[in-house]
Amino acid sequence: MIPMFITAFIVGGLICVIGQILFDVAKLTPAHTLCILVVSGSILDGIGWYEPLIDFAGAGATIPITSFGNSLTHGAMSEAEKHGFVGVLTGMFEVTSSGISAAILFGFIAAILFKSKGKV
Amino acid sequence: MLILLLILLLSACTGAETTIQIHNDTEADARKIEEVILANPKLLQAVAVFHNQDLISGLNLKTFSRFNKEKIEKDIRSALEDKYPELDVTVSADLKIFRETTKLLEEDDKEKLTKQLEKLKKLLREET
Amino acid sequence: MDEKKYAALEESISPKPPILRNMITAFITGGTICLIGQAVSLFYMTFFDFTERTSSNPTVATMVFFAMLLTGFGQYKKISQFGGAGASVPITGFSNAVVSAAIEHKSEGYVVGVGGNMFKLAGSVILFGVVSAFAVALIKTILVKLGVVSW
Repeated sequence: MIPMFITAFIVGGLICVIGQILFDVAKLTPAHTLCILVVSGSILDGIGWYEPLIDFAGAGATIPITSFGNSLTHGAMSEAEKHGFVGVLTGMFEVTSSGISAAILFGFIAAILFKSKGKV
Repeated sequence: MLILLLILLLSACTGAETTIQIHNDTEADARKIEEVILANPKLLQAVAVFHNQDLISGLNLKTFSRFNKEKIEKDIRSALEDKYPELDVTVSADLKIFRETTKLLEEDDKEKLTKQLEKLKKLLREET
Repeated sequence: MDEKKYAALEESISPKPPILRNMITAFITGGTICLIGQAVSLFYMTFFDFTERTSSNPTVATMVFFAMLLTGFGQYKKISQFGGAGASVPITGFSNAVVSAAIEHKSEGYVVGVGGNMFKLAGSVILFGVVSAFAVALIKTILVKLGVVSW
């Protein structure tokens, strides 16, 4: 049980360090960095390396934004395995819905509940 | 502090003995599964439940072996299917399945056992 | 002053970011957020019927919820200042971007303000995610059909 927490901490931290290096050394904006990380997660799943990383690190690999790219690709690939080319389009949002739907839903609820702090 | 974390992490890979716990209420031979499990150095613990025509086995893998989780599951499943061709074999290294199967070790009520086994098999088939 | 000289001048006097310190704080912040995520995931596996594979769904939804609360009460800004990428890279950073945009533009109305502005950051992420997932899955499917790799 304890090893699971340690691997989650280390892998999650490392992915964020990669993001930080893209911020500081490559001088990219947050939007650029997140897009690069999402595409990397997608490519890593295509090669077949991201799922073993999730098995190893648990939340350390599912919480960073890279897992979003991984879920999209994983859904597309598993539908394509079953239904051929059309599966590439139909399968994409199959597994990903919880993250995006939650963000949209809670964003709306927050807009209703919270007051804007205003620009300083 | 990082060194302490690393030491804690590596302590899971020092030669801890592979152990297995079995619950068997059929005429199947439990020694065959013990051979398969104890021969594999990548497993920390295993638990197996034989009931009616089912064999459910939960595995607890060593930390760094978790990278090969799928492959290890497949290997153990085909080895067990060879040894027990008449049983319906389910193998998983998933933590939830391992815990639930461990709980079933103490279960003596036959009907409850059947229902729980069905529930576990259904859980494994879920994709999302 | 011509452009290149100005750029060189600006480069020489702007403060350099403390790279090593930023990397350490990013590591700690990101690691902690993932640690909390692991605890939440374990909670869902223990008390509900989720396996390791399926527990990522409620875990992500819960982390998005936590980020919404922290953003609404103005605390996520502080975490972000301390952690840098450690606070933007996890899914909580994505949620913070969506939620803070929604709260900020509430005054312009729900349809135009909230609806129109929520996806400022999220839009690029979703766009590139979908495009790259499409490309990767397409290439893999073609390779499988040609018999070069197997699923």
